[in-house]
Amino acid sequence: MIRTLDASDFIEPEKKRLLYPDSLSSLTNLRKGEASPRPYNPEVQECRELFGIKGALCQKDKGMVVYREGEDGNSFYLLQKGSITLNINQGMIVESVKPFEFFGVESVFSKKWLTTAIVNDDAELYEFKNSDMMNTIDFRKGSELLKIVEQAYTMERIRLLYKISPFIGNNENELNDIVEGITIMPFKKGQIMEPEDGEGLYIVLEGKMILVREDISNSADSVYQNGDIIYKPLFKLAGEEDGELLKLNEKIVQKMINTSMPFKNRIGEEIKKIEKCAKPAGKKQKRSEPAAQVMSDNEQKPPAEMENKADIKEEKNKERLNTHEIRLFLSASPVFGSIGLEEKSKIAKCAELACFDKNQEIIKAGTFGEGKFYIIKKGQVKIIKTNNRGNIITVGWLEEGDFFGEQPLIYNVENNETIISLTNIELLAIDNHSFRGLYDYYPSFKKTIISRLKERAIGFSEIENNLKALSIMNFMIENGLTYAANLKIYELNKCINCFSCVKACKERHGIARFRRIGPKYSYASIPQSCRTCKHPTCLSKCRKSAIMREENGEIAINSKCVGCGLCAKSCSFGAIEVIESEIVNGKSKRKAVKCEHCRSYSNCACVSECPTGAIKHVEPRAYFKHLLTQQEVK
Amino acid sequence: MGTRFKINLDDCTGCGVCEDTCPQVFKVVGEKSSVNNDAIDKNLAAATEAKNSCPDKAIVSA
Repeated sequence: MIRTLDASDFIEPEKKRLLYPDSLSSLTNLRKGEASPRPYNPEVQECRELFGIKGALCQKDKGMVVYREGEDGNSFYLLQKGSITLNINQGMIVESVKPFEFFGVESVFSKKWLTTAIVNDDAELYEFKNSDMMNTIDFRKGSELLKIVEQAYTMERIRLLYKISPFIGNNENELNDIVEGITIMPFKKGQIMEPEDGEGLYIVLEGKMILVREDISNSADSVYQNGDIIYKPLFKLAGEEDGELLKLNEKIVQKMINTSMPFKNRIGEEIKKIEKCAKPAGKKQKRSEPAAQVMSDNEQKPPAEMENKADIKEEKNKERLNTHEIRLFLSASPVFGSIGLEEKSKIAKCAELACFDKNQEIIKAGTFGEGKFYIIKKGQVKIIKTNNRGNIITVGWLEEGDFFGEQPLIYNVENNETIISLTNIELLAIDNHSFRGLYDYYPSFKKTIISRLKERAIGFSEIENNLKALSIMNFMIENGLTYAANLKIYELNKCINCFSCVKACKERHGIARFRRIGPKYSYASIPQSCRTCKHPTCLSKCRKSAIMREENGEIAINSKCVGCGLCAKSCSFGAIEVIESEIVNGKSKRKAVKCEHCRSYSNCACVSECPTGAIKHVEPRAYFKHLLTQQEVK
Repeated sequence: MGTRFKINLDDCTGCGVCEDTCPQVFKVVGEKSSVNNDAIDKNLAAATEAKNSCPDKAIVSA
């Protein structure tokens, strides 16, 4: 992949179009598609002379590793396109590198890389080998050198821009004026961008953008595509498809309006459009006022009044959460237990309830998702990741009180984990804005999140390297053992197939309440019987309150059961059976039956009757932990 | 006239299997199920499925 720069780098192979002509005045040549024989663009040449070294252009695909933590290194990089994340501890992101920034500079001084650089988005980067000139280079952000490189790249973009509708009809000198005031902002699908103070002019270079607003129904009008202008956006912008956005300064916009008529007309159309959209938002506005001030007027109203209005709206739209209940829940959770009361109240205020079914994908790796931070209120989720070798593996599960979806919000990068629900779950969803408020202003909240992420990263890296632990964990997740509290396990190395357990059960209850079939790991086999799930699906279905959880955690069926079989249908482990129990008035009466772990007896029939002690009642997590350590000792 | 169902109230236990299968037609009120015959034609397949799935065979054709 690595090669030195030459003339072919500046010509796109497909279009045969010259990206770096020798100067701006050759725009006429560009249109005809004539290639200049000059090897380097003057800016790039200048840059190379400044460095005094030879840079090699590399192209890296998404997911590739540029360098690894701890390895010996003697070079540094300059990113031209795409994005790169710097990780420590195999997955803990410490920084995301944007175009025109140096990274890997630490190797120049320490001769070793301190982070792992992973390509987050297809990237182009220059690799520079260490040399004696190194001390003279200014690595700081916004240094002279970086400015030159950035300008060279921007020039190329300007030539692309020449073909975009708002600029057709402008001459070269006008375009030359724009160069200094534009910034190119890449965006992803689902990424939300907040315009600074509703200022500036945005042009969509590639992809699609939409305005995020809730109160206006005709959303079809607000999709912006190639060449569309967004002037002084009142709302947040969200990416509909991956692309790039061009931002112009207010000064340049004024300049363009004065000099170019077609540009002025376009802007005029856009302003009319915005005013049309803004009218339903605030009826009290005066007509003569510009649209940008409407929002600020609303914001300046007394806070109490605003809150009341918001409350009424929320009550109409969705179910209000009980704040006291959420505070109690957060206090009891191991992760958020240590944060202050104020933070808890704030979370309770801004959180919304989100429910998902079993086996549903909540967050997909490689996307920004919905830009929400989730706290698990009830249920479990599993985490799927791509490891360093490119394999997709399940690295763990999260329980009540834990959180996920923080990566796009904190580091502004895509999620690198896929989150799938293991059970039916309830989540507290906190939107981007509220989360930033909590994260930035409450140090205890930030500390909690960071320390938990560190803990998790260490745990994941440990389990990735321990194949036995990984296989046991996968077995537990696939067979629903992560949310089982108490279940039967029989060990095949001790079992002599005498079936005394089944016989004893049949003798005591009239029917064998478990079947000796089911998943196996090593010598541990799990029969088809009740697992006393932490989040049972069978309870909620019953209309007769016939199946209930008792004080000791056991799930039992009482005499109210009419044998409809709804609980049996909803149990995914086949632990409940419907039998014909007795005949009353010539009609057979049905009843649901399940293993209740011999709750009304002093001991379990199956366990006490087993001659070899092969069958056990255990807590699955403790048992498999024991299994893991025991095998390692051997 | 389309298909019509009737609930045999002596047999119905109000377990809710019918409502679970076809909520547009069946609804458990109190301890017994009730049927909305006007909606059967629109949801014929689901309603027939609900009729067959009744554990007490309390749903009969009228």
